Amino acid sequence: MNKWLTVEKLSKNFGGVKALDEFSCHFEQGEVVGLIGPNGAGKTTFFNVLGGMLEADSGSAQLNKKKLTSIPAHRIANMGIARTFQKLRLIRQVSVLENVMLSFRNQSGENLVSLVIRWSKVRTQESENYDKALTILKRVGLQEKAGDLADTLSYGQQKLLTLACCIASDADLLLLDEPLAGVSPSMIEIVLEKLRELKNEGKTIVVIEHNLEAIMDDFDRVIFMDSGRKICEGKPDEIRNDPRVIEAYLK
Amino acid sequence: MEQLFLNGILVGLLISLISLSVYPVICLVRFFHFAHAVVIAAGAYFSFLLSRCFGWPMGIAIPLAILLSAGLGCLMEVAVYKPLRKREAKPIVFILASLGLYTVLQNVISLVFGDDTKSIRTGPVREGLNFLGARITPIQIITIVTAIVVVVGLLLFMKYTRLGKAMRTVANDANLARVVGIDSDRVIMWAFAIGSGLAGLAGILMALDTDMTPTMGMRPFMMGIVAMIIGGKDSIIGIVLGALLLAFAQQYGAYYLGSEWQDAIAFAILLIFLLFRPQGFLGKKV
Amino acid sequence: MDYLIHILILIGIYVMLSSSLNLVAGYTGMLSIAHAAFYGVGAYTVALMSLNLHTPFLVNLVCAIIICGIFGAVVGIPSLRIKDDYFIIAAFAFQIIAFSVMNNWVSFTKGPMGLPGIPQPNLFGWKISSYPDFLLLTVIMCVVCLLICWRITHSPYGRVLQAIREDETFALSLGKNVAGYKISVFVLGAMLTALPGALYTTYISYIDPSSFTVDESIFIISIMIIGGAGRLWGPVLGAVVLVMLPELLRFVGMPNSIAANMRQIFYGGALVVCMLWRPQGLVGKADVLRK
Repeated sequence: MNKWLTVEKLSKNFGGVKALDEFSCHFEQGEVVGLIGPNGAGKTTFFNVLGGMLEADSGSAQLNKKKLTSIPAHRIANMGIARTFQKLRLIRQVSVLENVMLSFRNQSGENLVSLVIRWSKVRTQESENYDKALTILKRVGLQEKAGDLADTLSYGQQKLLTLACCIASDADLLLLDEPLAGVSPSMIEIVLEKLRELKNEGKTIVVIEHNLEAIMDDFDRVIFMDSGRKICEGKPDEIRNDPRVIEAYLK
Repeated sequence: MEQLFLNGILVGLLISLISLSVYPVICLVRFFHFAHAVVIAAGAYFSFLLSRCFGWPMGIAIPLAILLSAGLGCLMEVAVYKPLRKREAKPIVFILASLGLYTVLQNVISLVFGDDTKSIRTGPVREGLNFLGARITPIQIITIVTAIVVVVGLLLFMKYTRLGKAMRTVANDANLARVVGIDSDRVIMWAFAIGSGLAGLAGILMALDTDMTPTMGMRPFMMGIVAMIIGGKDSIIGIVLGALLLAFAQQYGAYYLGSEWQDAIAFAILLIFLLFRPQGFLGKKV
Repeated sequence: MDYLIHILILIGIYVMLSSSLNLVAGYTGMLSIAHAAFYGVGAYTVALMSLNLHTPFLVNLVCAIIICGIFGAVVGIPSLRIKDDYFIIAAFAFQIIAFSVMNNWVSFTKGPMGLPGIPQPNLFGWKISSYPDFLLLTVIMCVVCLLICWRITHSPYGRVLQAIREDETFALSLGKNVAGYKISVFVLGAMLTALPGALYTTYISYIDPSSFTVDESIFIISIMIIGGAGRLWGPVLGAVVLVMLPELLRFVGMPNSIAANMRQIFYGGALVVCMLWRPQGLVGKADVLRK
């Protein structure tokens, strides 16, 4: 089978604490994978290392046979990886629409030189992006908030906005860190619906989530990790009944 | 050449003294405490006020001036930095406030004492003593001895006293410090007191050697900060070595290239370290 | 009348200085204490070229812009690549050292004696010599400078700058080359200071290093903060208020020697007060400086 994203023996230490301990896994294109485990298991560290926010001590990750480790975070993002953060990150003092527009990749208007010498191209691209951003906001149901400051949105709406940013980035791989945490039950349904849509479009999605009741059946595969290691993986039903998982959660 | 070497030692130790005076503060508050530069000048002017205007003997005036400098540092902490910290302001806000404090205090000194050069030296400039082929004045000997005492004292203080250990804990991890019951506000206050007192002392030593102006603190403060970067931010020995490296490069550079370039050499050294070894030569790699 | 025009020209110079700083500090969130040093580099380049090489004003201006940009890169590239906040220290060191070189390199800059007799500019046959001439030149330069700032801040590039100010990690995760943006905007800000530098040099026709000190840098920062950082019109308002203020003090009858210090105490104090109670300045965005 075509292994699209492979991670091999990734390790990361924080002052003696092994956040990642030779963690290996792989992902196929188009699957939705749940990454679960107790707090401090190293799930968010894994995202940070994969996204280039942290440098791994050892090990490697490859996307489509291209090396991901030890290249700058912004270049990793431009290779088609988008992520959300557990502690919501948004640019709060600009409008909802601008947050989405910020997320488009390869904008010629973001380059100082082309800003000066290719002004008309920048203008057309900017107005195209404006329309695209509105479409995306409509898709997540935030079109009426487009002009508001991102800060004024409710928590659930902010989560939807980060999802909109991921959509705008047109990334193939989405790393979502607790997309459901702190979201009201009615909003959870909306978020899950958007996830299913994205899956149908062929995106690969890796989700860290604690609210397993809500999301478990949407996973194609689940990886259970603890103390920086992969304990087991399999179909959601297998994981539900795995004694090691039950033990870890009861402990 | 002996003179050049001696000057290198002297300037290097003076830079170390200033660098170490700002070290406890920067380690703990983690922002660029710009107003520290004016505390250096304030120390000199306090001693001028006490010894010249009030006519008190140096033995009383100098210790009191050091205490007043320490008080000035604490005042800034209480009146400005602490409220900002309570509000969890961004680092840029601290720096801006610090720039404002610097401007206000420096101009208060100008307003009260005037912009002209003032002196606390008594009697005519004495001929230097001959020391291994170089000339050295008694004040310079005192400066060297004081700086060495401060370096050793600070090393022992940080290592063995309870307050020193508490400072290191707060500097490393403020949350951990709270967990083990260290009152970080009190520790930071002490850091301001010690750091500002040492800055005042450095200012007095400089004034005894070369007189004073309201802006005298700025250039040595900058040198002290550069020494701290090239020495590595978390090691006292590193800072002293950084200061010495800086001073020797400046002295010899001025000798061979001309004195107008001695500050530019300091800048070149800073850039080289930022490019190739940003953690400083004794600093740990992050 | 000439007095009024003189004040307006000074305001124009500070509008340009603080607007260019606003790009770096107000929009991107990097506080530079070296702005007066770049201003001085621009001013000295124009002065030395016109005195020694007798080149026309426009050539001098272009060279000043390029040289300011090069110095901006020299300061910015080593210090902005690193995650830790060494930038402010590198900028501060550059400020002190640029002043020291201007002051001590006597054979070239004449040191504290300064450079007198700098010729007045000549633009395409337009000899700029009277007060109204200079006012017109100031207005043209200000409009150009503000247009550049406006275009930068209202572009996708400017959007990224604000994103960096608010959340660097988020900007990185969106694939923005944060270090590259920081360096480029810092170099751009340095280049823009060549405009007021060239104007000041030719207008006063005499420069010495005392116009380019740390205090001057702090003054420019104060204008930006008190007016309102992160807003296009903030620095304009700040420049009007802070440049007019000492003139008002003079009307009140305060002697010049005290007025200079009082002015600085006022804006230094205003900076502290702003930080404690009104970080957004007069017209700034409420939360540019807040967490």
